Amino acid sequence: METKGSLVSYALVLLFLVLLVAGINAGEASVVWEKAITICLSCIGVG
Amino acid sequence: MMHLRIVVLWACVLFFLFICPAAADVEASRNSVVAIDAPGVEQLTREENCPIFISIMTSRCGACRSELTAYQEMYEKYGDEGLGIFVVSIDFGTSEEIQGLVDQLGLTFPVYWGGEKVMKAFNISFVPYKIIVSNGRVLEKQIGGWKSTSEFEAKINELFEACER
Amino acid sequence: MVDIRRLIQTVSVFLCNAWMLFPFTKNIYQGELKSVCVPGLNCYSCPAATGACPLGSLQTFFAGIRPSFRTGSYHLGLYVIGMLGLVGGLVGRMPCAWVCPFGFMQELLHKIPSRKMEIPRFLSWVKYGVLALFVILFPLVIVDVFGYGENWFCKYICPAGTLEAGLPLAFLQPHLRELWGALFYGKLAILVLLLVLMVYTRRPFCRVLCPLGAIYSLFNKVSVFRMVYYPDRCVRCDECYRNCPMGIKFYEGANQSDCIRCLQCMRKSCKYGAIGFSINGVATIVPGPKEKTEAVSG
Ligand code: SF4
Ligand code: SF4
Repeated sequence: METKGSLVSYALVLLFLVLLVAGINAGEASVVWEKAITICLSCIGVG
Repeated sequence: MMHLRIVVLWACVLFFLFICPAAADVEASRNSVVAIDAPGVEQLTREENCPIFISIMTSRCGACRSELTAYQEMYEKYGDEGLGIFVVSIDFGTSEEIQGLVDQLGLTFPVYWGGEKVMKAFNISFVPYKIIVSNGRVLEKQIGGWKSTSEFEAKINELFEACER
Repeated sequence: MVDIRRLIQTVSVFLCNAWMLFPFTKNIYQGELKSVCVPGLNCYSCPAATGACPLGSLQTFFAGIRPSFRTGSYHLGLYVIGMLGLVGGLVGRMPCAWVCPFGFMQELLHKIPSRKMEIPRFLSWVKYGVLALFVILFPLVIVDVFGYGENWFCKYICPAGTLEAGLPLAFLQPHLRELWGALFYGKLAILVLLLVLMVYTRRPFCRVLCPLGAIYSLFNKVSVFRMVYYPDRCVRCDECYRNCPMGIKFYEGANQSDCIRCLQCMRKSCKYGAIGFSINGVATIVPGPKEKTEAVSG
């Protein structure tokens, strides 16, 4: 039972790692960057 | 039970992804977004129009997008009388997103794409960012847009008074 | 002695908010580090922030999904989803207890002496609603004429945004104050209400509203790091419940969705060795029943 549980967690970790890498490959990091350094006024509650 | 939930969840996700509107049809007389650099933006403040409103924005900023309709409306109304409206997008990397907005709304005033370089040169960290010029003089450089079209229109009329013709 | 968790939390607050030049530049930090999301809830519009907020970034991707299909860039937010899933898959909700600056603040405020009260349990479900609606569904489906959605959680709820960005920026850039409207005052009311609640009850935001906690909590039962309960040793003294920052009775389940793996119960509360943890399904620490030294003397 213990081993089965850990297999699931490894599968999950691997899956999300793949997603993470896919996201980086698609250039998503720069989207995050853009949004994080040009503040849109709606994020700070004034627009 | 668990599987069912997951399947339903994914079905929802896919549904919302693919019913999204297809690309807007682009007419031949397309208002193409022009690439611009920092000196180019400076140049805009010296255009002959009076008054001049320059808005620096990003496509992903909701407040900036909603202003575009007001700009178009006012441009149609006062463009012939000398009002200058210039929108500069600082979307990172690509001008495709801002071009998409221009095509969709059929904006007719000049729209530029400056990207990160203009952002850095003008030290911009908030969008929208507006520059207001009258008679070749920069009156305001500030964060934030217009609360409503009527507020914007009032400002235009106020500045028209002062324009030397 | 300095508690190791307090130490890590403090360091994390300063790492996430390390840009200390903002009073001089009157501006936010704009370096490359901001393309990486921090694991906790920390507003990226905070003038001192050095990283991006995972929730804000996630909403941005969802809100921009149609335009991204239109331009053929196909940004689905996998970067953020992958990062959240990776952290969740490894340690579940642990970041809430060890690195989240907003969580830390709630624990500190709770130290203010006052009558303490408990939150009704069913309210913990609210955060899944907030996650499903404000972070995922609304940004995805409520779109403007251009096909863009909005960051609903950031715009209408996020108290961390109001506290870390809305207020400080208004002081750095006075012009922003002129733009305050109903939206801002509404968010301010949410923040104030929560700040007051934080004194009277344990981590109200984490338990009731936090969508980030809601995401991590989905991983609690399947993560590599898990809590373990040894029922034969437990005497139901309720000591774990009394000290748990999330108000959990550990004996009701070792990996409840609200457990943030702060290990307070294991390290500080339980005198009977009924609480441990496992990594990769292998119990690493099997604590023996501790001697009840203080209890026997009489
Ligand atoms: S502190 Fe330990 S013995 Fe007491 S109720 Fe909690 S788990 Fe059981
Ligand atoms: S149950 Fe234990 S580890 Fe979990 S939040 Fe409460 S005190 Fe922390």
